Amino acid sequence: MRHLAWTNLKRHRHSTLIGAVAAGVLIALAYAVGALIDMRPLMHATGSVLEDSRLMPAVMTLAWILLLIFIVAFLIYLNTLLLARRTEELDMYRLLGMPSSRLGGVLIWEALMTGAAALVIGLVGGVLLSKLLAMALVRLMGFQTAIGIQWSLQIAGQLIGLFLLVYLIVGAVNAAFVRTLGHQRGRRAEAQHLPPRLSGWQVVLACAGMLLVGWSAIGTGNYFAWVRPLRQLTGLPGWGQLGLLTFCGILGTYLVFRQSLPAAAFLLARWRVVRRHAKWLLAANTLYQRWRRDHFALWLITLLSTLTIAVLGSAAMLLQLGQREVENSMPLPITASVSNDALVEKKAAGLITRQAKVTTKRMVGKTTLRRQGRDDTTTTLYQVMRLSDYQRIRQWQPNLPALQVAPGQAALVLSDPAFLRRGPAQRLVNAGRQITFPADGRTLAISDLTTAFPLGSAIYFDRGLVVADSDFEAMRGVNDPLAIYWLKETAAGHRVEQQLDDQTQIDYVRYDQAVRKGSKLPTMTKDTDDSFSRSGLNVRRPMARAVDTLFGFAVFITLLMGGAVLVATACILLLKQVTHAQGRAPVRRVLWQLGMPTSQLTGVAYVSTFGVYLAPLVFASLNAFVIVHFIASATAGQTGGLVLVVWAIYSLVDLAFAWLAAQLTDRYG
Amino acid sequence: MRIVTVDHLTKIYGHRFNRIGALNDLSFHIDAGEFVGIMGPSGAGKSTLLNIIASIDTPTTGSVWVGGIDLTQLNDAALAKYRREQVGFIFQELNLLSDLTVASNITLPLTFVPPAPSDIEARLAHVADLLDLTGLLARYPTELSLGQRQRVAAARALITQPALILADEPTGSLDSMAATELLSYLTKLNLEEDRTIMMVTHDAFTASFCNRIIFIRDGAYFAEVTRSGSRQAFFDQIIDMEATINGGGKRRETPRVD
Repeated sequence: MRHLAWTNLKRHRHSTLIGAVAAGVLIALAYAVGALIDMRPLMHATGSVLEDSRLMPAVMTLAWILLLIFIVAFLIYLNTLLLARRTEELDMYRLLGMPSSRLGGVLIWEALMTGAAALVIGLVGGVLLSKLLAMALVRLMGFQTAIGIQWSLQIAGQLIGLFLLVYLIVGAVNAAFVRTLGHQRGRRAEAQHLPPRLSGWQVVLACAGMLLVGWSAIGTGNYFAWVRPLRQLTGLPGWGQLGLLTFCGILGTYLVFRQSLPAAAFLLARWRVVRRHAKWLLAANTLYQRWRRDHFALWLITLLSTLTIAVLGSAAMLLQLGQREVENSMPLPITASVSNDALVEKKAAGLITRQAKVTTKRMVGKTTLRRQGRDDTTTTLYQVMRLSDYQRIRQWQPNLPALQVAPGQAALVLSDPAFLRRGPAQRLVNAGRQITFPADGRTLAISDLTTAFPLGSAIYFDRGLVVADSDFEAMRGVNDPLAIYWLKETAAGHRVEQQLDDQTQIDYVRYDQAVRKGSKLPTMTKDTDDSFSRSGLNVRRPMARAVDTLFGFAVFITLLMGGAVLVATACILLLKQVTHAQGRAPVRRVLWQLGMPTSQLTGVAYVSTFGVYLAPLVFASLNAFVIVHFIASATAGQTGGLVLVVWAIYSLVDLAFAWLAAQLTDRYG
Repeated sequence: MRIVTVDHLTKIYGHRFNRIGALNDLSFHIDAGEFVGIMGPSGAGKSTLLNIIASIDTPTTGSVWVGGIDLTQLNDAALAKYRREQVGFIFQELNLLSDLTVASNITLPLTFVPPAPSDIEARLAHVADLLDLTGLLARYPTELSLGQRQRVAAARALITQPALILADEPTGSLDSMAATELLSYLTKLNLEEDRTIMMVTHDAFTASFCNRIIFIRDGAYFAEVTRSGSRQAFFDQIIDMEATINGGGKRRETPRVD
């Protein structure tokens, strides 16, 4: 039995090897993550930054469990795939009279041998990978900790036990499958040589698939003015519309792989120009067969790839957003309100290299601004700043724009970029609007708008205002002096920054009915229902570090899961490609015998292989772009830069697998 | 005009300690317009010979000249061009592509290297008419009978207008009626289109459609028989030679072939 199992494995060495290596890579990943959880110094270091020592091990354990579930699901799917391609061979054993119990035993042995090989690859690879993963984590989170190779007997034992059990179950399922072989014989023989067909219904479904995918993308992204009324025709609330659009996308993608792509290949193969060029004709026919036969796997891979690209892209976008948020809220080393001056000067005595003071005024103002096509009147708290102070701050905070403010005018600083929309001739829609101050009845014209807060948004209660120096002096508000400090770039300086960051200092300002009317000025108070608040002491470095750590960890987890999905999906396609190439080898030989040049045969292999790999990548990229764009609109993130880099890396890895598959197709074909 | 010259051809398979000679110093020639059959017992080297002439296999020693070209001197690209333009091969297993229509299967060799000839449609119509396939061009091979499929394979071999048509047991998988039909078409090709045909067969009835039979045994030239009278007489000659080559001298009862 063992001998026959070994012979079978050798006969199917290509698919066995790909399956074992893919499983091995995933097991290596599982081992590495498990070993990371066991790395106590690293976990302790992250806990100290995240202010919760249990957070990282808990998230890592959750990721590990998800990874293990994914690997087990992948192995079961892989087994189904491999078994489906061996039914004829197993059928022959049964026809020759081999008892199903004995054949079942052979399959169990095969599964255990493959599992053993995958475990050896996985554990050896995992020990090496654990160091690389730990280094990546340390780098992404911005730590400085020494990392060695991690050998965890406990994790290795757990993985050996789990995966031997999984492979044993897989073997047992295969053994049970052997008993059903005779019943499928007739149907299988019929289904194998079906010539290409395109019925009227298939054309209808093919068009429906493309329309559904298109509508899902356009509807989710709200790219055109006519989309919103169409979405509302369903009578569903916002989340219901989103759910329906997601369903349309999933169903549409299925129809695209089931009908649209095969129909396109079918029509392509009938195009006169293509029929006169054997390379393109054969590639179109191969693609028809592949898309038709593997539509379910390709659909599944597209969904998984969509999820992976979207999660990776969103993580990259959120990392950028987090870093931008730190830049926007705390652009300078330390900013403090008057109530925290003394604390900073006491703690950082002898470490301050430079300091500056800026006086602002707290005032209540009323204005009407246009946002998303509607006028919106708001009465809120403004911190007013002199234009000369603003110019001074620009030297330390280079991201501040130059503002045009004349006497009687004000530049408005607010956080929502929707107010900065520009109209014809690039003129700000809200420029020229009036702002009135009930306390002194003064009115100023808004000359400019920006989202960049001088000294950072964290030190503001709500909005900021930059006015001409003469207007500032004349305005009736409460003085609110702010201080900026630069400490020495030494370990002591960093330690003080950390100590200051641990002191939570919140300032509250009264904002009751009288203040809103202007009969009282907005003065400091304790926390009440009618109050505005701000952080009175802001230290940039610890905040930047916490953001880097948190988002770095999030990026690490998404990269980990994304990598696992990428390896799994690419291996499934690789395996299908190699199996297909082996099945097409006789056709390739015939073509060679008929005189088709080797370069043209290679061309067919490359065109058809890249066609198979590119279809899921293109649709997954389209879907993922829509999802990331949607998340970006909801979070005020930006879908550029790092998101494109992440997508490009994913695509390159996918195309590298496509190239490898094309090479193998060319060789095995 | 001499179209094929086989000169001291030897083919040995296997390695140093397990050598099997498939062809052994074989020499003969074929003139243009001939319909030559290659016969011999199983393992005599018939298919090996055909494969070497088709450049699908390479000789160990010796040379093969087709249309004045020494095949042993050609590189891979030139051999592919030779197979594409000089030779038409009718395989025993048909080797049709099941996902291409009959028309695409037939025109396939013309489209390997662009540009395809401008008269591709005319050529297709001509061979389809010659082999009675006009009504079947839009169908797929799986929708045809075995005999029809073999005619499609013959049409594919013909469409490049090759100097030489090679057929490896073309009737091997056909019933007697379909076999007779195909052989009639091959004879028609030989007589009306003046095509040179070289056919490997082990069946005397099939061989009786040729006008010369070369017998080989153990990879070497054994004898040849040339048709001079009726097909029945030629068939009897073939049977006699088969008996001789197989080591028996007794003449068997023969069926009528006409």
